[in-house]
Amino acid sequence: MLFNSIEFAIFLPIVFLLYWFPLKNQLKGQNLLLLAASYVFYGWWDYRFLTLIAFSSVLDYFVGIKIHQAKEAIWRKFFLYLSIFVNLGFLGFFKYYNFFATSFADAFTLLGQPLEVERLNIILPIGISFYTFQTLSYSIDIYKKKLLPSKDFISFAAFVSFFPQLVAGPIERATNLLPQFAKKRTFDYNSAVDGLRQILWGLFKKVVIADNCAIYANQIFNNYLDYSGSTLVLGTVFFAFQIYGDFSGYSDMAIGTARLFGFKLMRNFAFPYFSRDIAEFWRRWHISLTIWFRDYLYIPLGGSKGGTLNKIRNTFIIFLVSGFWHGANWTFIVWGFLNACYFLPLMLLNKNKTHTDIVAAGRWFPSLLEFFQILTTFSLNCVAWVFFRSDSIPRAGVYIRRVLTPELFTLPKVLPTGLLCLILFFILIEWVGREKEHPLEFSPSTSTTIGLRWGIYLTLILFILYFGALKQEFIYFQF
Amino acid sequence: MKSFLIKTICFSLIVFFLLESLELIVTQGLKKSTAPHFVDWNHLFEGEINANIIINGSSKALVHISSTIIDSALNADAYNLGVNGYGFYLQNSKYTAYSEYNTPPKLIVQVIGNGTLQKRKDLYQLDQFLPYMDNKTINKVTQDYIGLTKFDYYLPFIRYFGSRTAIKEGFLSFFNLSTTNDDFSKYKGYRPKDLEWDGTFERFVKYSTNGYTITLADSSIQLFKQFISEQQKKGITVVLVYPPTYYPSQQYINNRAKIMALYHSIAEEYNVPLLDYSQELMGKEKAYFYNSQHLNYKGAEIFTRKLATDLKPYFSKNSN
Repeated sequence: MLFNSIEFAIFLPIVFLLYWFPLKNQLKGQNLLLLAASYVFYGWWDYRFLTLIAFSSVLDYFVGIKIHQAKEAIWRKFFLYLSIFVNLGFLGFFKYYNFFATSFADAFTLLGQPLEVERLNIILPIGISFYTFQTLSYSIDIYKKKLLPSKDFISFAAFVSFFPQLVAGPIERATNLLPQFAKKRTFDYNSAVDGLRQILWGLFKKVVIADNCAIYANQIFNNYLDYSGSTLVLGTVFFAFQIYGDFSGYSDMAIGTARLFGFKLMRNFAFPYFSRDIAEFWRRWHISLTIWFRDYLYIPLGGSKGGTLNKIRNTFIIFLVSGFWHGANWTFIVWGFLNACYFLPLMLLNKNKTHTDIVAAGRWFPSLLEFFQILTTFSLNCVAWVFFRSDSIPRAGVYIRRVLTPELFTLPKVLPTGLLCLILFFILIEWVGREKEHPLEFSPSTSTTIGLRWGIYLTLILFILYFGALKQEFIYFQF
Repeated sequence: MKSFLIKTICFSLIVFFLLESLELIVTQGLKKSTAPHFVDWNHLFEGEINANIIINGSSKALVHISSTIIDSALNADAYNLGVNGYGFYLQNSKYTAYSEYNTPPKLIVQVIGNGTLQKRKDLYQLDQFLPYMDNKTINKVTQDYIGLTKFDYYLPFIRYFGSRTAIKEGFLSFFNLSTTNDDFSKYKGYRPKDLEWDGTFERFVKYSTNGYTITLADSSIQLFKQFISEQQKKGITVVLVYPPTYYPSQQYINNRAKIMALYHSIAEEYNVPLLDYSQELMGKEKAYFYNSQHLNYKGAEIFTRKLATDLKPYFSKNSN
């Protein structure tokens, strides 16, 4: 079920009413309802893959208990590895089998030993990368004694499959989300209203910004040989806004939906395109994944401790793995590699934590330097996005080469002025709201009248109806 | 919670009222629009066509046959019902809708092509159907294609989501502000394309040397036969017309001979004339086409004159 569908608009109020009325004050009943609703939500797409989630839930539930109960280190390790092996095994099979098989065959061909490898026609279960990482965090945290195992299977299964964030995150840490299933939830008016606002803003980002940008990004990337210079630059800008609107829009809707049920999910995006350097960008983009890799990969590898070589190695590992997490293609690995290259100088010069505040906080406009830094960071991102969006590395290379032509300084051949105005409007709203969780957040103390607020909501709804592009899936579902 | 629910319900009611208002404005506006996508359907539903010759078909009817040339050559009142991009399944529905609101013709020129008996899956140029969901035929036929969900039929305005051109045109027409004015009386459904050869055929040849095979839908074949039979029962003459296509393109349709044989067998079975212009000399001249399947304005005018002459026996015979 898609958040931007009528089905979801019907599904959500039904679950909400059941949750807060017949099941009010019944924690177990509420958790059971969330579990059932989550399975319906996921099964709407393909019920067969529910078995995968159910299997992961059962396995990690028992593994968690066993790790906790085991007295000897070897058994604790055994159960941890079992969880890692099975979860990553599913992920590896469904997402990476064809990639490894093809790469293996290519490598042999390069060595003069052509090898025939059978590619499998595998359907990638949506959200598998997200829920796999979420369940892994549970087993690892128990192993590290940061978390006690859940003894309530329903709560645990609801945590694994929690429908707001099941298919595209935020990737919740068990230490944050699981205890919320064990606590009695009370309805908080302000939080619920703000949740609805966040859903509306996420919907706007998805159907107005991302889906419209997708039309032109697809047109330009799919026919890049027909264009050059400024048109290709515009293509990457459209893709940059497509992926941001799509993914952060989903996160907003997920966080907003969870708030309706009394849950607080972690923030996943914090206006990343206003970042002044790449380090800041990675603190603001897909925050839940960045933190996951930091805690479960970067720090265990030694983090930024040790010598310079260690730092360089760890930085490249984390960015390359992050790229690979996004998809089974060398293009994603190059995307990660580029980001590592952008990040490394900052880290080696100890400048990776220079910008931890909000840009131009308390001011209307950024300084000239800040503006230049934002523009440079965005441009570097756009170069990396070319690899992320392209089908292969050679194609991305040709794309970039075709940018560097005299046409770079001419008007683009594809120039949708309406969409550019929409993007500018969107940037303006985000800039004005950058000191809040999301731009539509009105604190209870704000003096705005209900008429003004409702006027803003209705205007956004009209924008969605008029500018909404035709129903498209979320990009991050494929990851 | 009480306050939350009351406010949510109030806001939802406002949204519902807004959607109902937009539904009314845009749908009523489009129903009086003279923009190309809607003008023909509007005249059709208003019962203003009442032609004695109906030209039915896809874009091969729409851009190929001039109603006014037919009118002057046959002293008739012709109308072109061609519907772009669709096979016979939808062509039949458009004719059915026509016959519900207009007097029956004496002659139907049914234009056929390689794709007539194919059935596409999606609702191509969906906007044209949106204002007419209250019509049973349109309502039913659109459900047989992929494009609208069940909610689009029941919830107000939802089906217009993202149809910017339709929303804008409906809104402007409702307040009589639309500047789009289609010359209905001049063309009578005919939409000539005054274009030069676009080179898509050469690109196609470069990438598809093996050509392609058209899959015919059995349901469309049955419907086609049923249509001819029903018109004959009503005393309406049906003439099948295969218009010229760019001759070198014909070899790329692998089952073209089979398709032509099927048309000939249907014509024979129901004793209807089949005028086949696929081997005409003009089919070898790029100057008459804008792509391999469609005549341009110049080609269409020449072709219609020839067709009008060839139709004379069937129309005059019928009017006697």
